[in-house]
Amino acid sequence: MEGQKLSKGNTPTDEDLITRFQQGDIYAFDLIVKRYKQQLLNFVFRFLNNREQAEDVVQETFLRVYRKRHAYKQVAKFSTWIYTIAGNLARTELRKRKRRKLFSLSDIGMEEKDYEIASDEFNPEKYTNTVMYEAIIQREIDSLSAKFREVIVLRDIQGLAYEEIAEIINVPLGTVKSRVNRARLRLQEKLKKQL
Amino acid sequence: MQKPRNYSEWYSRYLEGELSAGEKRSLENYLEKNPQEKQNVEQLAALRSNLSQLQSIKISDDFETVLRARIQMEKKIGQNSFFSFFQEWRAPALGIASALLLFIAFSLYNSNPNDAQFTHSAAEPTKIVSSTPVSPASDINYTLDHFSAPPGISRTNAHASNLSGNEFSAEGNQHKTAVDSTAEIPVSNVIIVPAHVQYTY
Repeated sequence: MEGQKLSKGNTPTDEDLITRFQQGDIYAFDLIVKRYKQQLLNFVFRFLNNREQAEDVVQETFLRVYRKRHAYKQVAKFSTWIYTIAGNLARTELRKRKRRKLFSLSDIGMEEKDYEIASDEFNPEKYTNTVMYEAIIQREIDSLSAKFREVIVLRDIQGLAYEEIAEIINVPLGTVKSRVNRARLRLQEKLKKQL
Repeated sequence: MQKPRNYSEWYSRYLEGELSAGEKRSLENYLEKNPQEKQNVEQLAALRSNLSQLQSIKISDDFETVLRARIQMEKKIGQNSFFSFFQEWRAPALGIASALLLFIAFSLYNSNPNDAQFTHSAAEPTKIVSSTPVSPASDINYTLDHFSAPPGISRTNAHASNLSGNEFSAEGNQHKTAVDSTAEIPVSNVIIVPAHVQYTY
């Protein structure tokens, strides 16, 4: 198998993997999926606040990477590229949802919240408090405008660098920094009213 | 050092250690004088920490299986020459089709309503020369050579056809010309057939 060419002791970079995938190594694509599926799901889920739709968007993101692998050029980081694809798809999904809500009032407040949390040790009391607190945070993130939601998720939940966020959302670095600051202040105000 | 319009613009940069020494000193002086704002900054720091510690959402166990199945399906579709051809040429084909539709719509919009149903190949009035003097109206024979035949209508040779008055038959349809049969036609060997002839089904 061609993928065995990848040394197991020496972790390949994302850019190594996509290059190998462009050369026909399917195993490299599998590694990309394993590396990014979880973080992309978290990014998209925090953005859409719907697990099922988030998984669909992540699936579609990997399909786009598969289809358009030759469109990636090494002028940008691979993570920037894949987050840009996921972000664009998530925004499209958000727009579709808004249109649907225009026609269906029954959608309001009916999204399921029974998502599974990845946890190491199970403590029921702590779990309940955590779930409640996180549900409130998630709800308030969801109530932010898309432009604020996107930057706060990318910066504070995903932990991306400002420079990378600037490339993903295609706005100047200074704008990203001030937008992150305003998003945090706005979220803080909303949480103050809830907690 | 340039002071911000509002010190809150500096809070994130302060928490992330991006302020210059002068800016940091200025902000800390401000916070010392405004305990409420100092509390806000502390809450903001806690919020950042909480956001970074949000529980990770676990992806479905069958995520990769589903993804592989979808990729396989795409490959199969890709191997189907019709679909791959369609996908490859979908954009240009749609573009050409749109342009054609626009052209047709534009042509119809600008065309003479009388010409909308049939194409009239003769822009000029047609002269029909008869070997004998022609009597008015009822005995006129028309040539159809200058008409492009509408669907379902065969072209008819004027000399071979036996048309009566201003009507002619074609596969069961009755077609009438707009020539006024009551008009006074001077006795002559030449008949002028108007360029715009109206048909009715």
